[in-house]
Amino acid sequence: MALMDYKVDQGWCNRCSNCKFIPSYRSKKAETMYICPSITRYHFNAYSGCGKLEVGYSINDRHSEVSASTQSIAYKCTLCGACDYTCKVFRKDIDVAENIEELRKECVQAGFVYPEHKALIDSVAKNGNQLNRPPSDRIDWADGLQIKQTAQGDTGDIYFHVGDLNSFDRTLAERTKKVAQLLLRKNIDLITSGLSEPSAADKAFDLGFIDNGKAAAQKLAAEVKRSGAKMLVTLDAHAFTAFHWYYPRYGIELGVEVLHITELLARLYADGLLHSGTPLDKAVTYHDPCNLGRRSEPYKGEYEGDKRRRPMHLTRTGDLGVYAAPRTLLRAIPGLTLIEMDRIKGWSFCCGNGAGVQEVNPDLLRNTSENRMVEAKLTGADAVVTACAMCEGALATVGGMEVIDLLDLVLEHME
Amino acid sequence: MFISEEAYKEIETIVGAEYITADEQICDSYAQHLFHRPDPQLWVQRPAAVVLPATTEEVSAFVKVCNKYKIKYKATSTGYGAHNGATAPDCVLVDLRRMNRVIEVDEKNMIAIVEPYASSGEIQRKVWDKGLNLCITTAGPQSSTLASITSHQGGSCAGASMGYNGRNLLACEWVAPSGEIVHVGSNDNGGGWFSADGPGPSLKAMIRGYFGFDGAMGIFTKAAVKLYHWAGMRDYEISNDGNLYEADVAVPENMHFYTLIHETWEDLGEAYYQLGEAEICTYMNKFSIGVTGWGYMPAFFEKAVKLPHLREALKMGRHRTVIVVVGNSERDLAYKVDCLKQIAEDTNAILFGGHADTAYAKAHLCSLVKADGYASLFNGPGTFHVAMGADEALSVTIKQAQYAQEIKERMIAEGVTADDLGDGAWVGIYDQSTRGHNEATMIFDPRDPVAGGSMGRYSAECAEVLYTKHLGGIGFAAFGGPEQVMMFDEAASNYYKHTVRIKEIFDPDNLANMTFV
Repeated sequence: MALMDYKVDQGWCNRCSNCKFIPSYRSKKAETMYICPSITRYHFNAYSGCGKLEVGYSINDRHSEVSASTQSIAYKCTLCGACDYTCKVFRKDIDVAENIEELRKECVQAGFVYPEHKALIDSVAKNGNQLNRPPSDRIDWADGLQIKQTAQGDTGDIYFHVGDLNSFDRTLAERTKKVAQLLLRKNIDLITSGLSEPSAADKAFDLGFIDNGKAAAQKLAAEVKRSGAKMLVTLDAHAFTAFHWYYPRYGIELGVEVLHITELLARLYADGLLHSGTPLDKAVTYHDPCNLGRRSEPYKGEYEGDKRRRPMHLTRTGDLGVYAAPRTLLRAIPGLTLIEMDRIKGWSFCCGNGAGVQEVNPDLLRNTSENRMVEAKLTGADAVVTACAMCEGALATVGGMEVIDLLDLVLEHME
Repeated sequence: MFISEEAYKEIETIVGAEYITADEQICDSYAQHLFHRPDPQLWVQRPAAVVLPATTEEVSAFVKVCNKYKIKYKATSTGYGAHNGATAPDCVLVDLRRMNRVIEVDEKNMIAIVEPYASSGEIQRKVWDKGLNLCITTAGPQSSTLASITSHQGGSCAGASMGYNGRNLLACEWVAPSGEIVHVGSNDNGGGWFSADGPGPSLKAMIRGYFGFDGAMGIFTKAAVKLYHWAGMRDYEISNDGNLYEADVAVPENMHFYTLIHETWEDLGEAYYQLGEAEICTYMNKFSIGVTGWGYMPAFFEKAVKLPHLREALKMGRHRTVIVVVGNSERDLAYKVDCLKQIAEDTNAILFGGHADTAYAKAHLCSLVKADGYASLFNGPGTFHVAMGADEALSVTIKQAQYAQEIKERMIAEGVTADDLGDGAWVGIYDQSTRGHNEATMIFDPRDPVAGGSMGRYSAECAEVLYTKHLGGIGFAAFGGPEQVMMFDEAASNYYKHTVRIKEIFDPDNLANMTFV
């Protein structure tokens, strides 16, 4: 697909501005009616979902060319998919988020690349991670565990995917180890790549470096195949979106069922293999990560015909993201009270920490995470829980309210 | 750049460098409008620059710079429709997005004071809490209330109980074309926001008129909107995660939804007179089955109208009116429902409905009370054009709709437009009275040159029939372009000549361009 393939989508936009708001029928408070982080920060229409459609049309209709301006507009966006989600309430024929992905691809192809992003992408091939960190910094979280390793020629049922961030941050690596221990205690046949885990390269796809992403993805696919696994379970929400959306869209087949760790844990709970444990007298609210929610909806294939007549099973709505599993786990913790925010599930307001924003537009990250924390605090909860390390980091930086990863709650209060 | 560097720098000093741009792609994102225009094109004029003022003082200073350098400018807010676009290459668009506060809800006086980018849905959220409501036009809850009441038309499904939205404008703060900040109406000298007509300067007729100036008469920076008593829901309790059409909303017992179907226009007109007289509708509008079908289930409808028997069956329901009745008490509700049943009987109608407890009723009720969901109407062939739209005596608007139907039926028979069964009329009443509003809608595919041409023809033929049959003014047909507008000037008591004269007095250099006049 290319930007030109979205010219019809771009032209169909009626400039109704619904992509900027939670639909009125769904909104609970006036303070939480806005849904697009980008226009909330930058205000000019170009930064909204419809504005980016119009920028795309401008390029496709030769009113303007791909430029530094396109780059600024395309990357001052968390690629959270909220514009697409809310547009699809009303329209089924416009793929707003895909247009943004295509704008980014055009920028990369035209050479409008931020050095900070280039460094991350180069690092995938050079260092095997998208954090621009030397391989020597990778933490051997599996050290001391009796866990199967692909490097030793082992095979297993479930490929335990950790992700780059969880492999380079000391706290996250320790959490990863505990999660693996929990699963091993349940006699789950895990296999991992440990120190040699290939990067999922989700950032390469998010940032528009498709060829780099595909090359990395093929390595990971080969590794999964080598593991003999029938299922992949990942701790990384951004990788989860890549596995469900980018990989199949760009022809990379993992050949296994892909679950997020929260889904696997919820299945274990439903099957009676995971139980409620120590009570927790706490009121929490849950932040739906975009990449576990609407962005992670599995790829449905391309529709070649007129999108106005596209059947729903081929329309990417975001409704098939993972919304239930985290809530199932929260409700399983005795004593814990879940107080929902206004913007939840597909309507979740982004934390700001995605799609290369942290590296080149920290003001957007800060503005967005602060906005989300204001809403979390309005609930009156004691803490905000999330299930993505990127969200956790962004929200915790704002402060003023405890931020907890769901896995930590499960580890402490389920058994 | 079409404005001088000197002028640009002066504006930059006022709003800050972050809030002005002449970037061609950012400007292009304000230059594409498929809706409310006289042709099936997409592009309107790319503005020379876009500014984002944050305060009235910034707006005032900006307008003074425009006067100094003779720069054209135009105000816009949520920007729905081509009338929001720039009108000349040297036109600066004033995006009022940063002025988005609901400043005050004055419960006692039943008014809300708002800024330009406060969305109608947001205001409604705040006033529902106090048992009040406001008129939201069919532009939807994401659109600007201030823009509606100060600057653009004002018809809606709420008009039955909450009137034409232009009449809901109370006192306002206005940056005149000279740049002077004027407090119009009772707010002058701190008298409060309760009236547009004084004590204090009464300029409503000039700065708003009937249709409004579409952002081309200075810039409105604050306005008070009239609120109405509301006995309906104060909150939505959505018990599932569905979208609008699946949302399981808990509707209070005192909110009923009805569908009224008439076989003939004559019966429908009689029913509307009686509905107005009985004062029982909180929301009401004629929603033709064709427009609704194309919008909400286009694939089905496209097939259905090709089956002759099914098409005839669907035509039986094309004169369909949807009504929300809200009871202030059990007795009040019972009275209103009894009246409605009697009107249905008197006018040979099929009436069904009651407490809104079905998916059909809930979806329609939510659409009406929140004005949500109209964007779905673009799901069909792609866009739609609205002709006629002048507010007239109810019988005249019914007559308009009949002629529009005849024109459309001819075009359907020729195969040059989408088959919506001919009747695309949205008809409603204002102020529980005998004043009516009709929008003659034509759904079409803007990419299809035949359909695009048909849109222009439909627009022109509708205007022609209004003119030759003396069926009222131009209304929404302003979107048919300046020639259509001026054709009606004499018939409309020289409304547009007066409009131009008023503009000349307030804005002698015509810096704030009108789109269609």
